Amino acid sequence: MITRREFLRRSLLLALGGTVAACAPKLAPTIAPTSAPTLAPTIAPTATRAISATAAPVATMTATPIAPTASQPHLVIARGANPGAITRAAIDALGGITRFVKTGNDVIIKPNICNSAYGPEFATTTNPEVVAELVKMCLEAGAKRVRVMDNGFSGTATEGYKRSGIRDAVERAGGQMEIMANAKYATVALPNARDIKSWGVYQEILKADVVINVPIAKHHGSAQVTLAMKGLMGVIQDRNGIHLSLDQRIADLSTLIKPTLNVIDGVRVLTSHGPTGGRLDYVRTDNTIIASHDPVAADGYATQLFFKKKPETIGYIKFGAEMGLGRFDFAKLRVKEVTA
Amino acid sequence: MAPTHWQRARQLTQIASVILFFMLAFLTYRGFESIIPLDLYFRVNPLVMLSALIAMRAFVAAMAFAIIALALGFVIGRAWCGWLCPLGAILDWITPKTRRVSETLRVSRGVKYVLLSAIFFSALMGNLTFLIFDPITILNRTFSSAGLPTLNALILGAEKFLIALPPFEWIEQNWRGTILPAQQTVYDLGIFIAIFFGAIIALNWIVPRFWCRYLCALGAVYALQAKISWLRPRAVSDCAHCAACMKVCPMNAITVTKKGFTVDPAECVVCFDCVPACPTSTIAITFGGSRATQVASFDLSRRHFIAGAAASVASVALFQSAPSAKRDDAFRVRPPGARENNFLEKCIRCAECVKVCPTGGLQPSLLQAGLEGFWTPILVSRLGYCDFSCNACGQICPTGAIPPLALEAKRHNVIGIAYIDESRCLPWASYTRCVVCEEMCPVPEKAIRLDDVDVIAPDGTRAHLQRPRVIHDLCIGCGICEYQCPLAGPAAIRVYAPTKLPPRL
Repeated sequence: MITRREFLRRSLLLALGGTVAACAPKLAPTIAPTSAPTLAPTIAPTATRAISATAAPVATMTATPIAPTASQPHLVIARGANPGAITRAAIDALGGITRFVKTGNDVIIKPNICNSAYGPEFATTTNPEVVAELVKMCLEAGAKRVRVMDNGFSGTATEGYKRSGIRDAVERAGGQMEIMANAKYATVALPNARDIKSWGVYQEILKADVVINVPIAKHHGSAQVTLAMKGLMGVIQDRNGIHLSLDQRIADLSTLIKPTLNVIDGVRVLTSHGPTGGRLDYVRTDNTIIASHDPVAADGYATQLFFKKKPETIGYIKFGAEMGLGRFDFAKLRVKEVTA
Repeated sequence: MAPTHWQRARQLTQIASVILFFMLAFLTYRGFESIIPLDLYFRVNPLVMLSALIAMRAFVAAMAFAIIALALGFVIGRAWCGWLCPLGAILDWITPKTRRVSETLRVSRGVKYVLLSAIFFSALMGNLTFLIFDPITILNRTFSSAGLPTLNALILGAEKFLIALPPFEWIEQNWRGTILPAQQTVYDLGIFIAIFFGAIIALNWIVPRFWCRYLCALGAVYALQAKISWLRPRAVSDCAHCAACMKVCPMNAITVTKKGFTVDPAECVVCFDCVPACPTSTIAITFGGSRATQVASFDLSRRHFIAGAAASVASVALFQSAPSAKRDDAFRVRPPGARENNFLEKCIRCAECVKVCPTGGLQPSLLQAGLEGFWTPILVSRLGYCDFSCNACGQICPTGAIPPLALEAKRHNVIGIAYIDESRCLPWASYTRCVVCEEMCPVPEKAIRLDDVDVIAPDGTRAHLQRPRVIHDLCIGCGICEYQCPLAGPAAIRVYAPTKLPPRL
């Protein structure tokens, strides 16, 4: 017979030992089953490649794109030398921030802070003045809380938030930076996706009342351009798994994650060697903001304007339109240009 | 028996020292600026200072504090061990309740001098491997590669259920990426390092402070000085030979026989436990004093030093039996700026770089750097890459084994070169899109480029693919490509130790 105290002591020791053992390196990075490449060489991404052992819980996103009324434009392009002012002008032209943010709303702003290597002049992370202006506008509209977050692929979030200049700008504007905790991701079903059936998604993004996606327009080696839809890779787990069928899977993510509003930062545009950049001669100053509730429209227009490519040549934009996630038939859309 | 003021003072000092040690260890993260040097415990360590001095034939200015410690040793003997050493304090705390009085291993006290001699002689031959037995390096290495990952795993485990609670949210927002690693860090040798530490604790069950008595080389440095130090217990009046002091001495430094009270100052850690134990208040710990005859025979002998010298010569010769003596290990990727020709004579195995590396990529090596480089840091890119925005290892390294490169210089420092395994890489071997590596490559000119190719897959379909290719002239070996490669198991792109390449055609 052992005493209760002895039993507790032994259990605790065992648990501690187990934890230590669990820290031993696990060389194989876990890939979600959906991303395992099949042995048969399949080139075009097809739904047959998705394998899902157990059905992931169905989730919905609280925030939802707010479509324009008949008098409001679908998409706004704002130009001017002051990043904050053109951000405000773009939102105002869409109908004002109150079209998207109501009193008491819990708001998340999602810029691109993909790495921690450079300051904003290198155009690898979203312009801090653009982000700060959005924070201010949301608070003016009565938001109860405005959080700013992104999960980059290189360096730590702490370092990235600091070096991008976004942390200081956001805190001055009254918002708060959130470090995205591992425990807040959960695997959820993507019933309307073509290639993947489920993926790990940051739960706060699904729960927030309003999500504003604020990517910076950048060149990208494999996707050609990275804008709003691709930026959603900052709110999911296993981003490398997305690459195995990059264009389709980016579009697939947009079937669940639908931000209220997309604001594309084209103040500085990274024209080559993206998404990491690192030289000032890759950067072109365009002093432009594109804003729309429709991620396909925003991305499509940015592709034309900043990269001189047709939207349908970008795989994920084409798939996005095919899947009804948005449209880039700009002739039929109300597009408004403003200057500030 | 109520503890005396001195005993109380010693306990508080020990607690303060352990708290300070772990506080500095937790704060050893990139970018933290501290008034107290984060490597304080290495700077005040005379064993590290002396062996680095011997090995490098140069004095490390940062270690000037150790000279003060050394000078103090001549006055207060092994008081460091009883009052300040964090490992000594832990050994005092985790100890069996009933102490063994008799000591059968007394002759083994000489082992620490053999070890000390081995450290100094191998330092003379330009090798610091035996500093793995320095108590501060042991504690720091155990903390960096086993303790902190374990604590972090516990926190992450609890958060799976409790993330909604304010304390955990607070920890994530305020400690993640600084005091706690940004991601769970894993170490190849973490479990062995933990067992090594556990064994040192377990030895307490043979006799209290087994480590300090028989094995500690830092203790041996102070023990040598204690031989002539002023501060030691003395019988200030006639001793009743009751041996009460002998029973409480944690170091067995006191011997009481019919002839009287003798003390071995090389073993006395000035803990003051003997003073209140004496029923007649005969014993006092004083400076100087006349009763020098009460000193027991000294353990150190010429034999120990010769044995240590022989052991170090034999070990350094034994190192030549490792494969690395014949051919450099392909994956011996050193921290940025470290140069193999003088690394082993500078690296004190303190594991500060292991702690500070924000990705957990720096790991204590097993045999990649040879036996002579046991537990020196190497970058294991599959477990963590060298962050392009970080130069923390060079800033923290106490001896300059990793030079303190400015960030811009570090970004150009070639630590390795990536090679693609085309037989496994997805676009090469499986006709699948991927090129995560190219996206991640932080070199401004991109050391990984994409070849656009039209291919015919085995099933006859035509497709357009991008295949990655490394431009070796541009690659710095940071390893983020290897880290992020989505392939299961070893990456299809791996960083090898740099090789001098022939000029291109």
